[in-house]
Amino acid sequence: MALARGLRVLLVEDNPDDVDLTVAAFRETGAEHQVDVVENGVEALAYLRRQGAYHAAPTPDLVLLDLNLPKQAGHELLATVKNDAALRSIPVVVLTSSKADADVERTYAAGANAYVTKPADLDELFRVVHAIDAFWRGVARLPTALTTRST
Amino acid sequence: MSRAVLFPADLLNSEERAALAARADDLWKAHERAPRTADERRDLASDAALTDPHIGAAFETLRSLLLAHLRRGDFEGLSQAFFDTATQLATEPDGAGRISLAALSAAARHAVRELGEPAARDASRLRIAVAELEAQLLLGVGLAYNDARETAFEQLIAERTAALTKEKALADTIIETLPGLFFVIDHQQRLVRWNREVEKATGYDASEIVTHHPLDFFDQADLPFLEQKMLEAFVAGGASAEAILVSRDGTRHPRWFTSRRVELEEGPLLVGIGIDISERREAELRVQREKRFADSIVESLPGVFYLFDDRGQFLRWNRNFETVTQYSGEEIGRMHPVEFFAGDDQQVIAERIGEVLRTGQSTAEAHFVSRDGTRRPFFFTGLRVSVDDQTCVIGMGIDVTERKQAEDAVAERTRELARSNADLEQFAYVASHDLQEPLRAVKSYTQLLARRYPDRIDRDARRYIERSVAAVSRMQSLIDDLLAYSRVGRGDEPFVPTDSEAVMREVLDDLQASVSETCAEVHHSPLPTLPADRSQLHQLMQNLIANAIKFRGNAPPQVHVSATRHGSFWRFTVQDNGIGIEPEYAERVFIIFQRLHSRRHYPGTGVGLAVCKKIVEHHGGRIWIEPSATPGTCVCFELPA
Repeated sequence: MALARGLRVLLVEDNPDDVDLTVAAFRETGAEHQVDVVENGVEALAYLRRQGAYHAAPTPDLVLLDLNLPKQAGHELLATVKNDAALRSIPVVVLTSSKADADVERTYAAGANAYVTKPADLDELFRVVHAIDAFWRGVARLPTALTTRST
Repeated sequence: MSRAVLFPADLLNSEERAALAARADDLWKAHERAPRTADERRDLASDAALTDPHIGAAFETLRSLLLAHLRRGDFEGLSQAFFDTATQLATEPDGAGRISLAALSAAARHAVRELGEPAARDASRLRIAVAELEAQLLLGVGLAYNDARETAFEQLIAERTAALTKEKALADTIIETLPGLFFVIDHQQRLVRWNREVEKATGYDASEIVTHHPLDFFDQADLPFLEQKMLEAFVAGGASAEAILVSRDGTRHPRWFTSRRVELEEGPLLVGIGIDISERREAELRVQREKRFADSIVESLPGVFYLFDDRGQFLRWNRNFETVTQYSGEEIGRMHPVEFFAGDDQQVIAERIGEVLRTGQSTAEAHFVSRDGTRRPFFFTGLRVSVDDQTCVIGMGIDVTERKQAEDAVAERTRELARSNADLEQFAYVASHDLQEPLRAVKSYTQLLARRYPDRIDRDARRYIERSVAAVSRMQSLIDDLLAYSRVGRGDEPFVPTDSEAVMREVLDDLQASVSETCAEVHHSPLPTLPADRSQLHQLMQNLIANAIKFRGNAPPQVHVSATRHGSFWRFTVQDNGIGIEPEYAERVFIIFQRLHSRRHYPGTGVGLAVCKKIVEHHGGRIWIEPSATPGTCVCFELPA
């Protein structure tokens, strides 16, 4: 059930280095991924709801969410998305440097689809991004890829 | 010859005495002068004889008697009969004092007058007879009257004497059973009456007492005072005094004397009693001693002492109170407790006083304000007590200026310390986090170079990249360790009973790789359950065992962990057979980032033992390197059981 096209990813991340490296890792997978980046929760919500400058934004296949964000914390955004009937079906993978058990529990409880600790090592990061690509594009079925559903 | 005095004079009043004497004289005169004329005799009649029904009846009796005898011409019989009847009449209980001699003679005269006509034929003889009769009658009746009066008097005396005897006995009993001394002193200051108590107390018998002046029985020093008191009693009607009675053998008895003046014909008397007050005096002395004791305590108290009633009226305070408040005793006596305070303290003090009165006790901290406005922090106590049936508050106040300052200083220092600790930990935490990000970026981009451009970098460049990445990794380790170090004591997880043996097993699981890699043997004795932060205990044991394996010699590492009870602590020892620690470094190893060996031989950041020390101290224990003869290292730590 592999998705023929690349993933449309919304990366919610404020650290430009992490953005760069993550984007580089996605690029290295060889697929034509579309990675859109917003820096905080407020913008992420505007993107998902196609508000303002994001009126033409696509519905992402996957949201990669850092928890440590300015303006609106990742937890808050996660709760908002998962409580919004129009948005809650979008898979959210939390990608954060936090190793705290409490964060793991809290995010799953709020409806996160996966919790991934952001590796400090580049090779590890690449391996993680490859795994995400392999799983969400090659293994899982996505609501955005349903035939009855228009994008 | 005169028989004027027929009765004991003191039984009759002067009027009676005079009347009786006059009647007796009349009687004699009548007897001596007889015969008298009828007119003279008639004059002797008393109106009372005609008006008094009793005398009237007696008169009738006598008249009938006279008539009967005269009609028969029986003069001798008349004389005797008349005498008997008159005597009887005169001695009748009601008649004795009422039928006067005059009345009787009047009765005889009337009888003779009525007989006048029938007896005319022998008038002269009759007259003589009547005169004779009258004379006898009067004398006889008078004597009978006297006899009767005398008998009645004797009876009366006897009755009165009996009554008096009874009264006297009663009075004597009372006097003798009085608990104290009883005495009567006459106006000449002679003891005229006393009870046996006086004899016992003085040691003198009755015959000796009469020869003494009442004040002879007292201490000479008291005499002027007692003389004055005795005079006062006679003049003012009563007096009381405390004096010491000195008995014959010198024993001294403090007594309380009180006396009253009694007015009699012979002159005033002092009737008094003396009560033994030695017990009372003893009790008073005891009370005085206790009061002096209490006073000295109150005065020597380091704080202010106070006693005030439920209206806030001060009853008692010590000199300190006056010294501290700078108010005089007179002023304090007029002040209410809250007046020694200002502002909100007044409310507080009023409330606490109410609490003492309601619940029995309270305390308060407030600023005592002295007269010149000086404010001093005081700690006050209050206890509800009952003094003379009055609910009162008793308590003490202590100047807590120094304590307060010390407390404030300690609190301030503690706050500063806590703040600086918190600042430091926050700093370490934030710094570690913020330091990690650029490091990760440096490392990642460096690695990205090698990854992205494998064909464009030569061997040397690849080595430089590797060295850069290694350096950054080391920096990351340092920061991670620093972060771990700063976290100890941050979480404030409560200590829970923790099975250290289970923790030990977890640690060995975690270290499985290095254990098998080095062929290490790790043994342990039974380990206790103790209150601890489980994850910290894990960290502690992991660090120590990892160290024991890491700092090994040439032989495979052998590690033994044991625990023994030492008082209220569990002492753990981790003994290895490794390279050991030279004694001079035994303390330095616990300092953060202290290393004894080159990184090349023993990689590490030098934080492990510092973290161990912090964990142990966080648990209230201590950790040290045991200097031992055996090769290897023995790390000991103690944790509260």
